[in-house]
Amino acid sequence: MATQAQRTDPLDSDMLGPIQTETMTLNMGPQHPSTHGVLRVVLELDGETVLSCKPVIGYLHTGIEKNMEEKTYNKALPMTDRMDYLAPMSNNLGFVLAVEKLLDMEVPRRCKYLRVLLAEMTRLNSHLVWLGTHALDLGAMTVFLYCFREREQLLKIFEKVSGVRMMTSYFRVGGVAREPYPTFYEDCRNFLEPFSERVDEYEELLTNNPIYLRRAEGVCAMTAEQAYALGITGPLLRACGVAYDIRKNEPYSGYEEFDFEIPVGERGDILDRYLVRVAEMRESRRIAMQALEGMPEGPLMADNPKVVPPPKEQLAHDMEALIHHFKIFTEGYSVPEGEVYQAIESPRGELGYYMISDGSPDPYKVKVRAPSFANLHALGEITRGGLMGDVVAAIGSIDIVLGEIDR
Amino acid sequence: MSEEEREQVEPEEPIEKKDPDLVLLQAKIGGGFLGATEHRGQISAQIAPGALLDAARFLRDERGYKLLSFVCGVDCLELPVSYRFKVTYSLLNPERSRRLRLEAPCADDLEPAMPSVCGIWPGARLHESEAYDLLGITFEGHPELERILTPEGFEGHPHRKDFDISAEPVAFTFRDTPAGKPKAAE
Repeated sequence: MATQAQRTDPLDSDMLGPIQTETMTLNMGPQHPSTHGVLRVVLELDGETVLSCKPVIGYLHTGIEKNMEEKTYNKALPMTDRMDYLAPMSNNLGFVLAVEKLLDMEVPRRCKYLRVLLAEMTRLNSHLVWLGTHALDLGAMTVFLYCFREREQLLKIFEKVSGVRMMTSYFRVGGVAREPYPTFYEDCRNFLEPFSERVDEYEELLTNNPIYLRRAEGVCAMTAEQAYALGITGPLLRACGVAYDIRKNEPYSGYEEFDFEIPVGERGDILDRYLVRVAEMRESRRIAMQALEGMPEGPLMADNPKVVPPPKEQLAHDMEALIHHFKIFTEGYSVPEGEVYQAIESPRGELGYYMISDGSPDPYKVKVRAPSFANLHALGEITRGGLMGDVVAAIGSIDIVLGEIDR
Repeated sequence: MSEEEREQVEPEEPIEKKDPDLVLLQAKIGGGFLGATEHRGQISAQIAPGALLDAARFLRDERGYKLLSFVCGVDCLELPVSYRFKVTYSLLNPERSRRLRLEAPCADDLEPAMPSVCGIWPGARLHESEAYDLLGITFEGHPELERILTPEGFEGHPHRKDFDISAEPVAFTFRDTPAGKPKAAE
């Protein structure tokens, strides 16, 4: 029997049949380029309106946490790079700080400054990739090329300092892998000094661009209460107007000595997330410049021969150093029993390592609290009731890295 | 420090009597509070599974622990404790920048179960599914408990300490699979 709506429809005829009113399920990914990796999203659509949006994960699960239980702390460290591959040094930092907390160990001030400098440059690296791909998702191609131009410079510095462009593993328990190369500070300065003009360039392309604003302003908004309930942290939470930043609220690695602001948004929409991250890039540059200017003198590695390998030149004439070296690289070092949780502010939010030690040289349990894993919750919430075309913008604005979601 | 000197040191007040959150939590859930420890300045409270939801609601509504940072299942098989599984909840009070860990031991070692906190922190949904997938802990009252990381049809729970990781049959060619097994030589 025909309903009222069908009878009054001018297009309704025997040729067209009754109006389709059931919803449609659409599968997006896992190979879709705008899902930033191998995320699969199952959308339930009513026409163009999203009724529900469910992320399906697990395509990159490699059992990193389980793998770490079988390895010594030093051997587990390189796996942290593989999780958030856009911010490897942040992952290294969280891991080494957690182990140092278990060991109850302090690193010298110079080491803290060097770690801060590199961690902030990592944040720039990560935000540059985010900005480029997010703009590309929304059709602004030029920004991508600009961002990758700067990222290339950063990767060159990382390569020179650690030997690898992306999987750096440069931070080690008790210090860093080696002294930075002679012109390292000069290279950093050459990159950082003109960087704020570069950010101006990106902003010129997007901030007042009416096409971008139409896609971003008021779209996929979220309130602070929603964000708290879902456990969302990082730039997403700050875009909702909450000035929570672990670097300020629970300082680690000497962040309390640096002067910087926490940018916050008001409406919690895509535009605010963009503005917060762009402002964060300027703040990161500021912190990195302060670390560069105030780089203290003194030792780089902690004075703990059981954990920190001795300098290579000592091995030739110092028996004790040779023994320590051998012990560290064959059986590792024992870590006192206990449980710790160390959280740091990664470019995506709260990155935490929950570690249990049973007193042996291998961690008993490692749990990585990946910011993207929690932030992915937001996707279902912010896209509900919106348009299908905004799902791509929403995924981009959350800034996920599937490597750390699936681990 | 000699033996005598050590005795003269004042015994430090236990953390569950010092920390205001823990004192109030104890008053709220009474016998459900099993104890508390402090290690490297981080506090963890042991809670009985039956009192978990009351404790969680109290801490969120009255003590400002608005954000659940993560939920993690732990297999304590090789640790000197009486239970096999426990679930750790890491809470954050963003206004006071304070963290608190809740640890709830599962009563049953063979079929571990825990009440779900999804009703209190909706963000627990994926974390609890992860613990279910990797450790086989069932969360009662979870809206959509499913395997999220391991592939469909996967058997076992890989983060259990007794999960066999030594070998896994790998089919290098089609002939190695049961379907492709060559018939006995004719």
